[in-house]
Amino acid sequence: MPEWYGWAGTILRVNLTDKTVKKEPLPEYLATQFIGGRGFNSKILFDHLRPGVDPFSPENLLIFGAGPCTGTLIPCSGRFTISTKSPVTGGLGDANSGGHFGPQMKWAGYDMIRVEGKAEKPVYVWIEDDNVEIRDAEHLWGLDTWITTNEIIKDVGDPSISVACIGPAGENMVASAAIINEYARAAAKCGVGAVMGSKKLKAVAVRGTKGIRVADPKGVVDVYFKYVRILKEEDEWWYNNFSKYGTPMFVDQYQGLGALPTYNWSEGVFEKADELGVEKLYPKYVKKKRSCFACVLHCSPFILIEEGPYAGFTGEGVEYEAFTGFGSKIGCANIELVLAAGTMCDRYGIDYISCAEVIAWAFECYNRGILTKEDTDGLDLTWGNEDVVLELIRRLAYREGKIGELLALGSRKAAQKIGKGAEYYSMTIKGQQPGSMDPRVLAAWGFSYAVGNRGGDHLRTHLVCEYMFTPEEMEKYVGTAAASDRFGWHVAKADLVVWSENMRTISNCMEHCTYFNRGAPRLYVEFPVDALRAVTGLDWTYEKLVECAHRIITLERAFNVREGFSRKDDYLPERFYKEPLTKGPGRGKVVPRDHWEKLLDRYYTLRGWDTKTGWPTRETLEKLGLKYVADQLEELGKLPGKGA
Amino acid sequence: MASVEELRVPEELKKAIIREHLDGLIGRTHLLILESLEKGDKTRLEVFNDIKGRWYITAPTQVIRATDQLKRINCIEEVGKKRVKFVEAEEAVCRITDKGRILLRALKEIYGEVT
Repeated sequence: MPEWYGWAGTILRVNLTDKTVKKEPLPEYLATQFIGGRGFNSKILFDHLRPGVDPFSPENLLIFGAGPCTGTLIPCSGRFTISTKSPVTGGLGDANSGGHFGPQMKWAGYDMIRVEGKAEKPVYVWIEDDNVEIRDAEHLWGLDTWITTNEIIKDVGDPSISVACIGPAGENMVASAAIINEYARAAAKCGVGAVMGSKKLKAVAVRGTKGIRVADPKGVVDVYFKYVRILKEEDEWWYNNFSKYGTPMFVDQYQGLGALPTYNWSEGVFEKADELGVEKLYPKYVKKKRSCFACVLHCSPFILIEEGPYAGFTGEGVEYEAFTGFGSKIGCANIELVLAAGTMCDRYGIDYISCAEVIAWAFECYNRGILTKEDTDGLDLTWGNEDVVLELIRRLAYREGKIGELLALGSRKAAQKIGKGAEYYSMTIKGQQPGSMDPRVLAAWGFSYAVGNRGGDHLRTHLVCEYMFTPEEMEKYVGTAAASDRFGWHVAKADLVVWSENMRTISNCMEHCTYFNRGAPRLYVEFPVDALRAVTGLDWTYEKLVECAHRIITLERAFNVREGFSRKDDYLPERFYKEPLTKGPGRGKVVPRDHWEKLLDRYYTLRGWDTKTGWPTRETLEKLGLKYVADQLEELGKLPGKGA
Repeated sequence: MASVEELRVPEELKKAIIREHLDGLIGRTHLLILESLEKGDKTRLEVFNDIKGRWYITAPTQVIRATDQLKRINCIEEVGKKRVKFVEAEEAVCRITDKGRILLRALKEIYGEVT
């Protein structure tokens, strides 16, 4: 067994069916070829899930993975990823969260917690260093995430533990169910909370006290000071604003860019956006700022509404996506509604991007006469009617009534059920909604939504460099200044997407926050190398990390290929190709379909995938050390040029 | 993108560009910003509105970053605040410095007119 630095060196396996716990040594190849976190999880999912497995069956896995830097002093590296086969997309699913859960699991001695099987009755897993117990959770079933967390803290008798749990939405296997840790941190996308509910696993609670060994302690401190200085000096505007306002600042920013989704993405500017901006939020509702472990940005506002119809709503980390989701997307301009809805989602254990998306879809269908009061159980979903929003969230969480049952499906499945043209208004890719930045004015970001392996996804690239890098920086780091034109559909956008996917995959595997590297290119290309060298003691290079990223993305692609995905799934919703924006800086802009095809060809070529099918080729898979994947795809008839 | 070697500017300015890790990263965007500021003091957002659509300038944040880079090498200075509306309610007003004028001339020698 190697001497581990950074990695804890152990995989914890918890089988809920037979109530057993096993510990396995971390294989060395996993560390050197898949880095950690998302990379580890994706590898295990591919290797251990058979194609076609039902996401809600006991066979599905739910894996918590931390990175080699998680729990160390490396700035903003306290995250972890939860992976599973997604009930939303039917493909590979994962969701990433911050807080202190990731560091705690590392300090307890585990790089991964692999949950298998399904419990007969509700349980929670309690981990205290080497001691691992599967405990009864019948008394917790039905409770929201905040009360669940408090009850487990009481059970364990230690307020310093971290709890990741589901609320009613997860228990009811709602498509938008999230796993919430420490009250307000959400592993949100892909229906991970629904899979946890299907396993009758209410929570995983962890307390770690062992710490983590790093290879070069002085080097870690040097990396900390060097790169925090670069963040503050070379990305000054970002650092100053984001550390002051957090993600709610994006309302003003995306409104300014004409990219703020409005009325279910029919427009990119909202006439009442000023009512949702940071000047309305601060200082009236924000009582203090909080942050994740090892954070240097402190983006999370802790809010309290003290008076009025929403008085008493309080919570942490209501983000941009709630402002557009419960604001501009449904035509509401009441910041108190946004804050109330955001905290309510945390308590019910709901991803508010997905929840707001299906609600916006329902609003549009109602306003177009596709849904009627009969479908909505009498609720009036006229644009801007804020009175129904909290009730819709509650009914979704509990699958209550016709409308609750419909919303719980997510918009793609709900639209398929309704018919009557409702599919056109489901703004999803592979069944999942993207983040809230309009692709008609942010071309590369839009393209990345479509090719992302986990469905509509703003985080696989988090492509802010499209509008933050100077064209000169774009030319130096990505290879062409043309990729800086956010309105343009130059094929160079595919190069930018590949570059950004690689950079974000490295971040995801380190379990590092994507808000750290934003406008300063050195934070993308130099920081991970120096951080991983100091922490692990291995001789990482930029080229080696990029190869790992390519390997992971290609393996994730292969997972989806096994499930039936191909080029046909790499498209945006029709609205973006057909309906030009009519207002703001993006007036007249649509996504040009002919350019799209060229971009797809270029993207697959850069990735070494077949341009006809979008499937990885044998040559590429073998070059990445994934021969067994090529063999398996060939057996399934899903290897390009092999009778496919 | 001009390398420091190509830029006909004083040694002190070359050293500042290298010190700030901007070698090879000063180009047409910076030329356009300096040209705009030579016509009068402006906030970063006002500069963006003046030059948008030229080169690949399509977002205020590109101009904000490039202007911050020019500030780090003392080619612009901030001379007060003004109310605008792009996240921050108030933004600094920027002015071109003598060094900035020298850099502008050097960039024009390389790039000429930028469209």
